[in-house]
Amino acid sequence: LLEDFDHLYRYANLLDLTKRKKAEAIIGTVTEIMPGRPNPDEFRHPDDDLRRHYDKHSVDPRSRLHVMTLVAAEQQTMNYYMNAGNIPVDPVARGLYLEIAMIEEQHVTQYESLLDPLETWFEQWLHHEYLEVWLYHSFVEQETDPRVKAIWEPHLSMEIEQLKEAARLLARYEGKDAAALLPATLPPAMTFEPNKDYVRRVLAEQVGHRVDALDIVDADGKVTKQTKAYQSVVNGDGNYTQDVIDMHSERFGSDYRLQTDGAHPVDHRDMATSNGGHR
Amino acid sequence: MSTTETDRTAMPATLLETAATGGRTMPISMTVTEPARACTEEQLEHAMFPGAGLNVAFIAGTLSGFLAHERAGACLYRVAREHSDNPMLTGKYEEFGRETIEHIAIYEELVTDLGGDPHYVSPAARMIEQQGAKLLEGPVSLAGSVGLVSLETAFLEAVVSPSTSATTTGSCLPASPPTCPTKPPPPCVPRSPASNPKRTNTSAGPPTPGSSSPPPTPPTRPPEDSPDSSNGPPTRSRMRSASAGAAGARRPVDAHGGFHRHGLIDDAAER
Repeated sequence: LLEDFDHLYRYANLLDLTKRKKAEAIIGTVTEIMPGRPNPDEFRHPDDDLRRHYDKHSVDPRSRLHVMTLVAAEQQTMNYYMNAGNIPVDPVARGLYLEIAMIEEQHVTQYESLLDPLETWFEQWLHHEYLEVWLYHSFVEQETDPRVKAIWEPHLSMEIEQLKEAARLLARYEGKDAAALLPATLPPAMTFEPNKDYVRRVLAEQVGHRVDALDIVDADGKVTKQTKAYQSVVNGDGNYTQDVIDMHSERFGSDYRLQTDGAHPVDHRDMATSNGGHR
Repeated sequence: MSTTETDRTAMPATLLETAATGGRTMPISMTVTEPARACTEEQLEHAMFPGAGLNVAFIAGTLSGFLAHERAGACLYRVAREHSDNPMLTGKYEEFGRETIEHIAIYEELVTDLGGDPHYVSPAARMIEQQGAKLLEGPVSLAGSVGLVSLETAFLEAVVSPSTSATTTGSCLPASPPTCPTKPPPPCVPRSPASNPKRTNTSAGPPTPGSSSPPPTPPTRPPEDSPDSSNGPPTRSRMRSASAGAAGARRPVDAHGGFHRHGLIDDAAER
């Protein structure tokens, strides 16, 4: 959360810097824009990039849905940055996309490793279809625009049929009854809720958290020896994610932020910069 | 079919363990679970054979592994049946599949009677489940690349190989009985498949995925008409006291994975 929140801040500054466009014109004021965990601090040695996985026999079905949703979201984001990152001509923009894409790859790896490797191919397929059903169901439940809702509804029906097909093949090729693997009823719909207070609280409490091998720990910003060595390499020649903030500050006197609810919750350090190196 | 067999067939059996069925596991190494669904060694020792000095984690883990084996077998027989055109084979697969589901119910009952949780999925059980899944994955993955005979043979081998493995394992175990606890059998044991002459298991080894063999018979199991098997329903206290007594009279099997956690020789017991 804090790392992607920081990406929003970096991209918002790029948008203002290159297009003279305020991000709030796009996202409104539902989310604040300010530094999260600084991007240079997000780089991790691969040894620090894996997490322990859940157990398929005891995991709450909602936990599995959450993990799979995040894997999908992070992978889509990674793919987008990697595919779109070569479109801008500005080298700072290209570098920004590239650096953040690398972090998104870390996120994909991290979340993917939460999935139980004991889940078989057909079980995974079943759970993928179930996830899509759950998401479309959530959208149908909450959509207020009739035109958009009319799009979600047939897609929900399609996903239900695809779920049935996955269940049929699960029975044929693995001898398992899908009804025994899935919850009796759909879990409560995923809802969109106000996030400002939540993000501020997480920022205040966890911005110093870091990874120590398989675990995320309260480390007051200190990284493992291997990640420190890794960051010294990838940050050694500077960071485009830092450059974009410096360039915005040089041109306009400060970085771009959208802090509707007051000062940054972590005021004891300059959150715009990082422990990483500068170009 | 006897009344007893009919009752067994009607036993509920959990074929797939999930949170909804009450699934629990032991957090170990890369595997985590919610605290409420975690099963620790201390919890296992408190539930099964408390104070007996036995390596309860191993025993519970092994029993859970037997359950995983049977569950994998149930899936294997279903799929093999689905992919076979040979009436003789399909009939056997169906028969073995039915028996395997009975085995699951029997193991669940056994674990429950021992004070354990039949929904506990041990690390060993997870490994056995994976092995069973991969055993099935081979013929399924290549089903479109081979002829029917090759596919039938592959499924047949998928069924036979674990049975062979079970026999091999069983041949290694006769050395163990003298060191196993000589407790009276758990009251549920006489109702095991071994009590059915048609399904008597001559190998003492643990089953492996796909095997149609019934659960292993404890080496010290008395005849079915022994007093222990006719003294009414089992009670947990009876079984625990029997187990505790046995622990003091016998050597453990091995240090790490055996019945006793403290080493090859239980010095206290020996003295």
